[in-house]
Amino acid sequence: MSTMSEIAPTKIAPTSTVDRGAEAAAVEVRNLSQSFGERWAVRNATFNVEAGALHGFVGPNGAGKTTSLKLICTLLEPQAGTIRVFGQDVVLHQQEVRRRIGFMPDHFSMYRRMSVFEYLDFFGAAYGLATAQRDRVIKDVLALVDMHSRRNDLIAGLSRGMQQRVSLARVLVSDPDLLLLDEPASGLDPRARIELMEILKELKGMGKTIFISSHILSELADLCDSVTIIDVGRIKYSGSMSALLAHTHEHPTYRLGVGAEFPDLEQRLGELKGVMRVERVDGRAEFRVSFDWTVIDTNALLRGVLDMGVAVVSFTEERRHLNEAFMDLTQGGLE
Amino acid sequence: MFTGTLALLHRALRLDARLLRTHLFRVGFAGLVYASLIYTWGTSALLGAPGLKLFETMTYLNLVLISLAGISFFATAITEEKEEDTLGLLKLAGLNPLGILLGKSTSRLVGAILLLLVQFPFTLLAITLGGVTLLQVLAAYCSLAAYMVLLANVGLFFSIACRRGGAASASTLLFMILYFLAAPGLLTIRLGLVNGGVIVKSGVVDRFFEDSAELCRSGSIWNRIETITQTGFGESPIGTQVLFSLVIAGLFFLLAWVSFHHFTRDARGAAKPKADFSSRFIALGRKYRSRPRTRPLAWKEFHFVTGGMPVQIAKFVFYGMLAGLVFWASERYYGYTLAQAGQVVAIMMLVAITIESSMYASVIFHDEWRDRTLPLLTMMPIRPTTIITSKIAGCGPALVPALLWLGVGCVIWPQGLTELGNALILPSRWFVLLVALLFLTLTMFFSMVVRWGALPLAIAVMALGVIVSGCCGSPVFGMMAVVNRETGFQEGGFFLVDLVILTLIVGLQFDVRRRFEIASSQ
Repeated sequence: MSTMSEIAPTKIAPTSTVDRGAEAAAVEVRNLSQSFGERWAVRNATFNVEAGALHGFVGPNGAGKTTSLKLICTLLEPQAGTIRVFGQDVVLHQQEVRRRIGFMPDHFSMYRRMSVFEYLDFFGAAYGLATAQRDRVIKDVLALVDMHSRRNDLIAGLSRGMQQRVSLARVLVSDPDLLLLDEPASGLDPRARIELMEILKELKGMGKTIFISSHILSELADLCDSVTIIDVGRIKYSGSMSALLAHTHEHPTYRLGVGAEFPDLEQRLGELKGVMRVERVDGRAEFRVSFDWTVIDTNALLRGVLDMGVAVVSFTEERRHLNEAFMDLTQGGLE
Repeated sequence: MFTGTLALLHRALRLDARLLRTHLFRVGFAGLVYASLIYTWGTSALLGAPGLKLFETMTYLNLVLISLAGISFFATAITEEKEEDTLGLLKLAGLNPLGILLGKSTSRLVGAILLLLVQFPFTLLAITLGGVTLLQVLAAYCSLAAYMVLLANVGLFFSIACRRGGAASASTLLFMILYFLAAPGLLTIRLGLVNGGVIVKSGVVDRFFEDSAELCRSGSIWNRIETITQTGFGESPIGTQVLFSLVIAGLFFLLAWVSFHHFTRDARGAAKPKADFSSRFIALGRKYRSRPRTRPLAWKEFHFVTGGMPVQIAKFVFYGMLAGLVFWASERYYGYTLAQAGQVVAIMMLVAITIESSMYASVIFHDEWRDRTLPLLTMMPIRPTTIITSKIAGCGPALVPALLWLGVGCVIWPQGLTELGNALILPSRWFVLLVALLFLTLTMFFSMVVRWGALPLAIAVMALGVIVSGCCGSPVFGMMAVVNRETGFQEGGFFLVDLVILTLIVGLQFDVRRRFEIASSQ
């Protein structure tokens, strides 16, 4: 896998810079609905993806993620509602939208008898790139996904992780502004996942808007700026990652370890500014201190503890696991 | 062993019973039998022995359908497990090769025999219509059942030996061609060898050829049915053909059993194309393969579906050798003129073009659908119509070798060039071309609708079309006669029929486009 410094000089030709100042949101979904027979795959969904953002699209299996992606990438026509990609309606301007997006399906859709280079060359030609331009772009994208040494290998002989990289390279050949990736990390081993996430960070740095679906929220936690959570076709949350915990009404909580016992310490901690609740952890000299959202003053807490003459042994933020928030939001089950 | 086998059989039968299309197929089949009955009743005033006519229609119809089932239904029994990577799971489940073979083939055989049994009472009606005896009906069904068992086991073997369903179907088809042409083929070779003085007439080799041909003839279902449908048939219902078929079927089953491990050692890898025959050709041509330019889709089809230049050169050489053999042997051993040999070559090349084009029609969309690459094509900024036409255009150059030898045949055959010219100006010749186009369009259409067997299905539908147009074509024929009489233009009637077929083709093409979009979004 290339490191970031190795990749840094590489720049995807020809027009990788997105003029975000003049752009509308990369994706605008309004009141989108889609059903298959009597089953609703997507129901009255509304959300935005900002241009240049790395946006996660999370939901359990069967939540409607793939259907939503297919609707955005013009493979399906919406039954109700509208979708705009960079301000263009996906139904009215289908071809223009297709030129600006790169879609990577959740399954390996590859021509296994082609070599890696032939595969990318074919897609480059299909997108109208001239031969010299294709040579340059293929070299760049192969360097980005670290597959340059395997360019003449048959796709059939590549491992799953390598095929996924080639698939990502295929998406990048046409230099799309918006990348729609449907569960790109599924089936990959931990190392391949980490490598994939590194590549996505690189792409974000190049100004691409990335819309990535997954059924594991924590997988995207460190990667995404914003997230949309979908369950049984309904949008449960759409916004920044940092506000997700606030949305679930969970109070910021810290763990405070003290050197020695102090009379009424639990009660006195509760009286400090902004503290909502104090709980002792398993009878040890350690407390879980929850703050009110409006007043999170950890300095005041630590000062107060020290003023009491209690030694602070440890003080860490107890981040509620994102999966718990995800579980809270998606507990609706099947409709 | 039998627990697993029964579980497989049970699953297959349950699945079969749940599918609507199975029942629709059976209803359609019963409808076909009913249509044959009506046709026989309608023509009974003109033809004698209406019962015999019904019996013959039913028997030959069954023969065609069983043959189609052989190259589609039976030949994919194991390959579908290979393609879905589930053969390894069956092995892991503790099923031994015999269990898997019995479980997979028996369910299909039971389903097919049920179709044969369901029509038996209808066929008995032929006895009441007159001209047929119960013995003839029993003998025909015994022969057909034996033929079905033979094809089921031949298909089973090839589905073990081949990686892909298409290859298994093609191999089974090749077996069937050999099965039907063995007797006349051996006799033709014998005649040539005797005429050329290579072997002595009535000598050992000559007798060997004759005996072998006789064995193949008595083992052939075609000859058996011809014998059965003759008035005064009085042989045993279980004749040589039945025994021959069962013995060969048994041998193929044993072969499938013995070779099971050899061909399925790597059940997952079995579906990988990297080591198969066509891939070797593709790998051979990689060095000389051009890069995609203005028509990348056509480039892809030419190189990866038809095999590219190496395969075309190989085909050109093969067809050339075939034509050379015909030219050389016809004059030397059979006393044919060079012109007659040219006609034979032209006909052979027409058959080759039909087979090749139908094979391409059955795979160009189906392979994309199977490999789930259709969404990638649809996502390109290319209109679906352009995608479809580009794919078809990419297969066009693959017909050039056969076309070249067709040209050679036509140049040598004095009427050949006239016939080719007629194909351009006469509606009766357009009719042949349009029927071929309709068949190819139908094959493309089915390749995006069914998981396997698009080609046999298209053949079956075309055969059905022939029967229906034969039954209900009176108004069309009447109209053709009126047009011919009024205009004095003998081809006028054909022109009208051509227009009807052209409309059908255009309609189907629109549906192919619609299916393409549906398949892409799935």
